[in-house]
Amino acid sequence: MDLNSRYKLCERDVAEREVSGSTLLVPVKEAAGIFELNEMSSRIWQEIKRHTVLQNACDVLVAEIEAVDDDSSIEQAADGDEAYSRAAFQEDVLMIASKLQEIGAIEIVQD
Amino acid sequence: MACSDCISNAKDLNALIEMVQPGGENPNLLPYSGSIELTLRCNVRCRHCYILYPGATDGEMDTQQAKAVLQTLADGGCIFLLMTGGEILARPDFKELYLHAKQLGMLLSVYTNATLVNEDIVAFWKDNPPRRIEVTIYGHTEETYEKVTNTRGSFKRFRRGVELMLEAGLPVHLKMMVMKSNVHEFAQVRDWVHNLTGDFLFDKDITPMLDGSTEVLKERISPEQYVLLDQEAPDFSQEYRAKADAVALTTQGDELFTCGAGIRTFHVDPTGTLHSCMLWRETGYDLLNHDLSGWSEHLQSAQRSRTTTAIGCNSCSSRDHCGRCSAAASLEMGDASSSIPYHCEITQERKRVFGEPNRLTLEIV
Repeated sequence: MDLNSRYKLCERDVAEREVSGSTLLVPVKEAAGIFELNEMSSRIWQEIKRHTVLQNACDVLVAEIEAVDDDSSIEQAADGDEAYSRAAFQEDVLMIASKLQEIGAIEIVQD
Repeated sequence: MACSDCISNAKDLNALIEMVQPGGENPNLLPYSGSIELTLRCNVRCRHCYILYPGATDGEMDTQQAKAVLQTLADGGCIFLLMTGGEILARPDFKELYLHAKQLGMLLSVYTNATLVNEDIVAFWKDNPPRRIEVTIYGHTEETYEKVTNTRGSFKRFRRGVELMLEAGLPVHLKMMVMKSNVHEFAQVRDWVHNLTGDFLFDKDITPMLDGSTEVLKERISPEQYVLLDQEAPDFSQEYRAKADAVALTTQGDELFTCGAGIRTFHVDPTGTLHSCMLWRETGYDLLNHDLSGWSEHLQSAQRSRTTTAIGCNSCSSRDHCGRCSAAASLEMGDASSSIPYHCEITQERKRVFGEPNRLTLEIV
């Protein structure tokens, strides 16, 4: 999987629950699996659901972060020890997308 | 910025349960765990059954109504749902309802007598597995089993159903319903189950039918047999002593309901009525025509109920390890505040076998 991968949602295979403010993903094909999304992965998941290519979801999220505060732009923070560059953010999105694929929430579509 | 917990497998279900406990911010939440009777129809006619009375199956939800109720339960935060009956597989739309509940994100357990389990349902459960399948056993021999079920051919179908599910690796748990007609086969059933799954369960409580009929109570085993079977549970004696000693030091209020009914669990009957437990059906809440916004107040009203007797069960030093509850008392004695003589006898027998509560020792400690 890479940022240009095309994917589709598997809504019938994985149920999404909002319980007490937490996002839970529950695979239908498992007996007792429940996956809890933390705040960041939940936000990324919401954006992944709105797109079909990861890069598009990533672009929206990066723009969103930069719009909050120009000083904390993820591009400008790239040099520090705690740097969180665009590349690092994209890696995180990829990692979360891989986990979503593993759970069965998304499926890569072959062109 | 993302960490390994970005999407965590909630293996620690207790932590999850803490997270979704109702109360506090959202009064419209249900307990995270509950049960639904999909139907009261059944393909066998058991001697001890509490729902085998005329009219019991009237007014059952159709498929769309049942789906709407399942949606309401999911919206209310239910995560663990037990589907029971009657016999769940007697509903022609069982698979549709089960799959609907799965797709709503609920973790399902099912109770079945296994006599309607076939290759088709096993393949379905293999594809869409429940957390747990609990199968009731009525006897070890065909004669005894069918004496209980009053249904010819049911024993062979039960054995075949269990075999199919075990072969498929489904999470089957076998539970004996112990009664006068089959208690003589208890040891045989226990040993058979131990060999099959290693995890033997049994239930020895028989309650009146939900319409108040009490003829099924003749299937109750004697208090002596009841306490003898208590001792089948490895830690029962120790747990009994600890509870008995602790309760001897406490005083009890006059609440009618001191259990977790409605707080830790809920129950929905086949007409779509929500109850705080499976036995207490006097103060139901209509889920077909109402959302959950009135449930909390409805439940609180039931919880404010008080016993009508100043003495009796609430002042009994055995109250916390007695099988009596207000719902059962209402059914059996027509008065939720009443004691149930059968359970009083069991409690006396337990005192005889396990000893009196030790008030003095605990006071010194």
